[in-house]
Amino acid sequence: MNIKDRHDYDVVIVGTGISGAVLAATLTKAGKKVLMLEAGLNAGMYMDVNGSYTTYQGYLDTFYNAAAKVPNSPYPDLKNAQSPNVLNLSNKTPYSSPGYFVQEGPLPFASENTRIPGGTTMHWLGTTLRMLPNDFKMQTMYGRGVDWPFPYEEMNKYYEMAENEIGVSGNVEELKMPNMGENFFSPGYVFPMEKIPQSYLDHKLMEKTEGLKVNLNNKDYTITCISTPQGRNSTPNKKYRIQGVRWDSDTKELKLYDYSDPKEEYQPVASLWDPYTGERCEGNASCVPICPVQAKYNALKTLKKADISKLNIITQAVAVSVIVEDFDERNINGVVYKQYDNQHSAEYTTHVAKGKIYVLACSAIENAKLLLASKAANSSDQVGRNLMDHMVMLTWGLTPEPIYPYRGPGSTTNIPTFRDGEFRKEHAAWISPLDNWGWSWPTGAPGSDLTNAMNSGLFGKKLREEMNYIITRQFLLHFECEQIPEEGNRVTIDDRYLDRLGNYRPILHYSASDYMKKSFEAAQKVSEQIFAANNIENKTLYKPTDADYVVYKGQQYTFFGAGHLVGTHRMGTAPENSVVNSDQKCWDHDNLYLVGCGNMPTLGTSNPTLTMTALTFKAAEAILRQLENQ
Amino acid sequence: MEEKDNLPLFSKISASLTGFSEMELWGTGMMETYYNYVMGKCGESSPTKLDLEYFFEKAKEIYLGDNNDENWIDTQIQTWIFPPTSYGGLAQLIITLWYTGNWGLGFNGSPISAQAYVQGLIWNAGETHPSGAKQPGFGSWNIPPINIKK
Repeated sequence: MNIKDRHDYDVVIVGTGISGAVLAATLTKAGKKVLMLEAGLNAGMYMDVNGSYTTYQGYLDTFYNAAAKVPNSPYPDLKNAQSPNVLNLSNKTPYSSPGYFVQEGPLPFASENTRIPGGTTMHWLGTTLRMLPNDFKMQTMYGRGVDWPFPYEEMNKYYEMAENEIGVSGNVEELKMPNMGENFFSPGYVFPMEKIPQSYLDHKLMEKTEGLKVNLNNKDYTITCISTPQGRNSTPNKKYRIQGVRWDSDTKELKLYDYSDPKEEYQPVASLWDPYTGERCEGNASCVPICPVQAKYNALKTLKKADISKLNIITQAVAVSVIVEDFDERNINGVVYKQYDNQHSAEYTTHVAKGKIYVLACSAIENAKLLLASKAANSSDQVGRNLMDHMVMLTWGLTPEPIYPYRGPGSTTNIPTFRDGEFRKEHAAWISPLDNWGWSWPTGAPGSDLTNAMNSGLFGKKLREEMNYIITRQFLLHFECEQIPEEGNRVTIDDRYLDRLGNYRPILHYSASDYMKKSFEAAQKVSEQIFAANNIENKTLYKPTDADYVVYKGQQYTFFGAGHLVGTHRMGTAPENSVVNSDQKCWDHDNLYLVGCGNMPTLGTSNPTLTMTALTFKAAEAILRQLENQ
Repeated sequence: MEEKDNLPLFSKISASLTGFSEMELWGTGMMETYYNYVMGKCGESSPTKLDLEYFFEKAKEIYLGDNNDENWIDTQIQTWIFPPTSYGGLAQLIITLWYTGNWGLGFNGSPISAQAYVQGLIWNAGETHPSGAKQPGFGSWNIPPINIKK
């Protein structure tokens, strides 16, 4: 029987982002039959070379034509499966229009995901840092947040799987991070590819920043700068021997396996598997929102590795709820979805997808929304709660000499110094990426620089000289502050707020606690010392019109969303305190798993995709065990 | 008047306004596209067709007279052409078009085409390339940009 006609799926997965894709590839290769539901357009899911290439070039063309080149600008703006957009942000909360999110405030939630085939990895930057050991025990170490149900050490194997799947470029030896311990990496471990070259501006800044002594709240710290591992193609590392991940049905484990032929080595391939393209990052400087040459990983790369004889994907299929017919039976009996034929029409048909096991693999916000709509998995009352993001405070200035930004990947170097330490008892930890793209994020440069120059009366050669002067000297520093889980930062639903298909729109309740505000103040103190050491003229300007800002001790601090949607269905040690167990199975249901950033009990200071992907391999292993024990 | 009659003038005034040579401007492949676009955009509302006519009349005076001195030309442009109050703000719209591919100033602008964005001269001015196009190759960001004119 053709897979398209089957109704006996082992697993039904909602969402084709990186979590869904990793599951689909892993499960089908282990012989399981999988159905995926994807809310986005069918064109985004073409599995043939011509179709997928044409769609991708269409995204690129939309990006070129976009007035504001924000993260979701290349991708379809679907009325039947809306995505949030930073262009809809306002500091006048509460508001329900414009946009997809209903922002209850007091602060608007400023991060966005993408509801299309491939999910948010279509626009992600690609940073693939691991979390640090102490991130897994925040409550024990610092009395903040919660501990994870397992330690870092248990994640190592899954991190290696994630780094293989994404294809990480980086240098293990350079990754010296606070309190990382002796066994952070397996002995002799290397990444699949050599590090992405650090930028010229990284090197210029490092001259006076590496080893810099800074003082923060009467304690001295030594700043270090390290290259950032990332999911984009570079030169293969000949020492890397891991070929992939496979299910061992004898030992009931997922295992990494090596190349059997010593002549074989890691092959960088394009994210759509198109030949002769994307084998190296070519420096388009547009990783967010789209890599024109496919050198940046996205989830379609993984999905195309699935055994398609065992995979069925239904597109333009928007999940509505999971069916809990009899709560005592603890079983989910299907996923209700609405399928639309035409993106410009509100017409749809309603269907139910059935399998043995169900997995919600959407963004943290969509997963929570679906569970709330289904009245499922919520005996702990934790569904939708503990929404987190990195609150990104930016500082920017003009360097005395040209550093030539707007070249290379978004960031190639970071300062890990404040990722962990005793200060986490008092204020949030942060990571500081050095940014390669000038002031584009906070000011809209270089377009805004042109407006400023013309407003000051410049034209002709003087205008060109001024543009050269200002564009080549722009330095931007990030402080990505770890938001701590708080019950009140949450997603809710309400019958008053529905989208065009009659599905719930997420209602967001969001604020910044003193723990966060203190970290902004601390970060400013560090920024000031780094700028001074580098003779950078501070040009940072926060405005009362900014969407997200707080006032702390009389000072305004503006922050941005990092695009890291985390929390909302936390993993924990007991049904009373969490939604899923350490296998990422719902405590309340025997056949419902949740994957994605929503499971993370705390955020740490690393971009969450790598950790989420590692956790998804862990979930895949648990699902395979459950299927084979049935 | 033939449609293309003022193209050479458009080229000269574009060079004076942007600080890029006529050769550099023609090198983008956008000259005729932009000329036609501006001709098409000037209509009932500001900048009007009449604004455009007066704009080219003034440009004729500046470029087709006996004085070729660059400083004199710059002064003429500063006085008559560049101010946002002249000819419906045409000069700054033209500068923005060449620099960014956008029609409209600041956040009111958007690219007239994908190619216009890609050919934006703002990136050349900043010794880089448009984000998402004309990629300079693996590792190029590790060293200062190579500028053959230096």
